[in-house]
Amino acid sequence: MTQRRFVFAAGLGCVLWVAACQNDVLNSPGVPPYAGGAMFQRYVAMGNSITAGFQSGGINDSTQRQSYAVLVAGAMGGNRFYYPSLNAPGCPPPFTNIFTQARVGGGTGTTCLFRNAAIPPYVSNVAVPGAETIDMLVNGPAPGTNSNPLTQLFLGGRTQVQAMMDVNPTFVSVWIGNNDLLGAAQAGDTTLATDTAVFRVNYGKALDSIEATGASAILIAVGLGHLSDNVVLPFFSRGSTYYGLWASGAFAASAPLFSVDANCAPPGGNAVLVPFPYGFGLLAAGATTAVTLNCTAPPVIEPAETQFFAILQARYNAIIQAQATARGWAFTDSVNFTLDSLAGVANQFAPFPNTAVACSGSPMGLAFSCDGIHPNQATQQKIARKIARAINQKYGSAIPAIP
Amino acid sequence: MGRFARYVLVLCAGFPALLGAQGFGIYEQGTCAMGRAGTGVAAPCTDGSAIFFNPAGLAGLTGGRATLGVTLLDVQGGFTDDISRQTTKLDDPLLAIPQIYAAYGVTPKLGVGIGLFAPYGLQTRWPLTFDGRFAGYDNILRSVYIQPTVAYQVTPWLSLGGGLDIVLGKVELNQRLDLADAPVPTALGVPAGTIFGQFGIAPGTDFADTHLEASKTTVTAHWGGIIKVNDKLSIGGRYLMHATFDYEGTAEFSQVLTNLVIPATISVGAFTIPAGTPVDALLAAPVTSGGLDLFNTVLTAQTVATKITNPEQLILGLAYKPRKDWTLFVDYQFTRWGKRFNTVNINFANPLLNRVLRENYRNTNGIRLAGEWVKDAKWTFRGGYLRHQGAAPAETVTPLLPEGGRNEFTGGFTVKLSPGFSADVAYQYIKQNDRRGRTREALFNQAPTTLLNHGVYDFHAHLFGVSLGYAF
Repeated sequence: MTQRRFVFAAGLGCVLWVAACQNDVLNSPGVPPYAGGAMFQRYVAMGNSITAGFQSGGINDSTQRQSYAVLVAGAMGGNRFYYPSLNAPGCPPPFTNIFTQARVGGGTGTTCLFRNAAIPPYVSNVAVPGAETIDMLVNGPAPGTNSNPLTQLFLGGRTQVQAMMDVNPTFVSVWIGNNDLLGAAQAGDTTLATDTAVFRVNYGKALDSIEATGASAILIAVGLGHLSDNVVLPFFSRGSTYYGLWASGAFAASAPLFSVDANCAPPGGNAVLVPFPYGFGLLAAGATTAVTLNCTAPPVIEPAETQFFAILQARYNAIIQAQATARGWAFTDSVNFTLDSLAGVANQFAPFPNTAVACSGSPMGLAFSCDGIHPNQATQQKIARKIARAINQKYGSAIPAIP
Repeated sequence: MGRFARYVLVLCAGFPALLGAQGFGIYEQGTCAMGRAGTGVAAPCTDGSAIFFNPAGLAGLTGGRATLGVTLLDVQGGFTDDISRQTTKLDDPLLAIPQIYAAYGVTPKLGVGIGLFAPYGLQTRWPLTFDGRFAGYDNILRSVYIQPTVAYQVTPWLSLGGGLDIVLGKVELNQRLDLADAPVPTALGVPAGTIFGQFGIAPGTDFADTHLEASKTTVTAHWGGIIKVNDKLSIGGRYLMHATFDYEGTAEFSQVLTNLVIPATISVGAFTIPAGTPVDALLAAPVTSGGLDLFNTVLTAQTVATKITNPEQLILGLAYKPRKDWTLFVDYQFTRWGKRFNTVNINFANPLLNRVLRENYRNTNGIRLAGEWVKDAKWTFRGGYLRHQGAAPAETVTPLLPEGGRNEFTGGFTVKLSPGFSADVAYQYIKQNDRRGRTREALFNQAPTTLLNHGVYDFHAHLFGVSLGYAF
């Protein structure tokens, strides 16, 4: 009898206990359900303007959303991928017409509406426009750094490495080094390029920090096409192109006093690169003043300098590939190969800016935004697909296809 | 005696949070009653704790009772974040709650007594690494009731009792301020409502420590009645009135270094911040030196006021003796949080700092069941179970008080050590349902919603009570 009462009491207690417990549960994003998905639970992207989503000389939420990093993160399906969303029209707003310098929302090059007030709990896209390898480790105003207002707006005084570590990532992509080379190329001064020894040290230190988090990574080769394959951003036009257009009278109406030196004529001028702002500056001046494009005068890039940058790109990428191999991480040069291919497709790389159209008409070619440097939305998508594929190949994962 | 009284009050200062009652209510006010799951409004323990559990229970007392006890609390809990899945544990130490009751039967019908108890209070202590530090990392809300009590047996079947409560209230809040959430002074030419986070400051950037402290003494009342239906059945009820505290105190602020540096010259309205400017200097330096001078203008020591009301409690219960040596208890408790704890306005001398905590507590109901077996003249054993709702609605489960519905199991015994002395021992296990909650308040005093919840609070506790009683 006593035993039955005890059993009854115990049973009643269990019923009460079960009936009374109403535990809430975590709303954790589940582990991405495909093969290897756990590796991509918390993805962080490091890099520069391409990764940040800079287009057409500006950046805002609309362009940020088009970054390959956002697209890859979406396919990965891990925790929410936050980028430091900038209020419209941007900081600065992208050009709507690069030839008239008109920008989104009527803004100027100094317009900045700062970050959206809905501050995310962490930042996954820690890339900053203008960043070189040193900028992953050190912020301005330290010597050699390239911080700008976006460094403050995106990272708030932290470095890319610090911001990356704050997210406790499981996977990191690194695409940096373009500006170590491009800045010098834009200025037509090879001495401004980052020395390979410095590049190796800085790049390696950043990777050490990633490794310390336990994350896996993909390292993306420097460039948007192989310079060694004569693939050049539409930001640069060849001296011979200027020569041909001038000789055909294409500038006679708009810049009657503009001329092109014979040293720009083919075949020598084929290997001379004229930066867009410099060439168009001369054309603008040529409307009222006699000016001549000389293909041996800075800041044009002469053949020897072009070869220097091509070799430097290859060396950077050899360093990056060696680092990836040493750490067992993925490395991909597929973006460069993709751009190499696109360069061979008509209208993808404009040999000379099409001044007849605004940015919506892709004056720099169908692959680029209208600053001639940064990939447009379509190319960002292609890049995203290449990167996801490279990750899957290395890690045997099954990140879903990016539409 | 004065020193002893102060010691008792100091001990009471350690009253912890998250104990066995709804909201920030505390029900562990006696070891004997603790073993009964807090039941006994119809037949309180004879250790003098009737002063709290039902003042009418002092009527008919023969001789005197004095009880001194302590309850040790091992509180465990934490918050697990949805995204990081990292758990931050409560930092509460092992705590001790003292209990003191003295009662005396002046006549066979008239009983008097005085008790010191704390039916409301909380203490939550979180590590400074916890994101909830911006809501409060060391929070104390304390209400010590000193209750002179009188009870009278009106008829052989009806006893009434009541007391006047002198309530010593104190509230203390320690919190960090997050620069990411802090508004940028509009003097810089930015639109009102612009926050430093829009300039890239990452959430979780401590830049100031805040200490708010206020105290107030108020008066309220407590009464109860017991109807003895027959030798087997008693019915009881008690009503503790609400107590309102118009707190006034001080707020102090101290700078916490961010060690951040502005990496590039940046323009904010008409204000230009040069590259290399330390953020800490920017915040603290005088305006004449290009700073915002926050710690001499806005975040200065100042007065702070708030109003908090401890709600009414209504408890009704039965005590039934199916056998001479057995008593069964059932109590129902209603606590009127819904009317008393909705919005807490924290008003500073500088209105820019005013805060509004929207708590929106709901009235709560609790049920307590217990049984007691008198084995012999020396030993009495008891055990019980209680269940109650959480007062906090789903949108206000915060680091200040991450409470919820609870199931609690208790057990205990009394042993007579000598004709005059007896000892009580009790154990109580508290299991709170895991609850989704948040670590931050909504920006700009906006009404919170469950969309802010980003993790789960868990809580359980082991309570050990022991007391020594003397009958004279």
